[in-house]
Amino acid sequence: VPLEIESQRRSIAFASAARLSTVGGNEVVDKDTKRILLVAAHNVFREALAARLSQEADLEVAWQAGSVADTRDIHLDGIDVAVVDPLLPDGDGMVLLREVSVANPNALALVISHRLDAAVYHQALGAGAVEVLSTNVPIKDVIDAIRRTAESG
Amino acid sequence: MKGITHDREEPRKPVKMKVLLALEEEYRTYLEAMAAAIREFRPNIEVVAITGSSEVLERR
Repeated sequence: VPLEIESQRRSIAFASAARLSTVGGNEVVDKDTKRILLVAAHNVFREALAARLSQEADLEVAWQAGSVADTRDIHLDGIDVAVVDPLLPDGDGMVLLREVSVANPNALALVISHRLDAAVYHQALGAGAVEVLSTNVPIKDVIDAIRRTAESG
Repeated sequence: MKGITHDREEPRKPVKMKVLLALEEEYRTYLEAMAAAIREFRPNIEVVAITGSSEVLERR
C-alpha cells in the first residue's frame, strides 16, 4: 500500500478514535479535540505532518488542502486551527487567513513557512495569524504552537 | 526422467531496511514529520534523521 494512502487511512482512524466518544449509545464529537485545517503545497510534508499530528489524542487533522482553490472547496465550519504554509502554487496563502476567519470567526490561524522573514512575519500577523513559525523548528514546537493557538481564542 | 536437484539454500535472514533522511536545518520540521510518519507506518524500517548545513551533511 503506498505510504500516502496508508497515511490517509491511518489519519482517519486516529482522528475517529480521538474525536468520537459514546454517550447513551450515540457517538458525539469530543469538544476537547482540536480540529485542524492543514494547508501546504508540499504533499509529502503535509501528509507526514498530518500523520504526526494524528498521533496526538487532542488533535485531529480534519481537512487538508494543497492550494488556494482546494481550500476554498472546503466547508470551513468546525475548524479550530488553520495551519497554513502561505507559499501555494495558485496564490498567496495569506488571503486564506482572512477567508477562513470570515467563514468561521472561531477559527484561529498558525502560519508556518520556510521563507520566513520580517515581511512575511508581519504580513501573517496582519492577516490574522496568532503565531508564525519557521520550518527550522522541531516538530514538537509546531504541535505546542497549535495547542497555544487553539487555546488563545 | 531424472529431476534437477539444487543445493538446499539457507533460509534468508530478513534484511532490516535503514533510511537516512538528511535535510538542511531550515527544513527541520519537514524532516521530523517525515521521520515520524515512516516510523509510524513502517515500523520495521530504521530511520535516521539528521540536519545541518550542506557542508556538515556532506561530511557526515
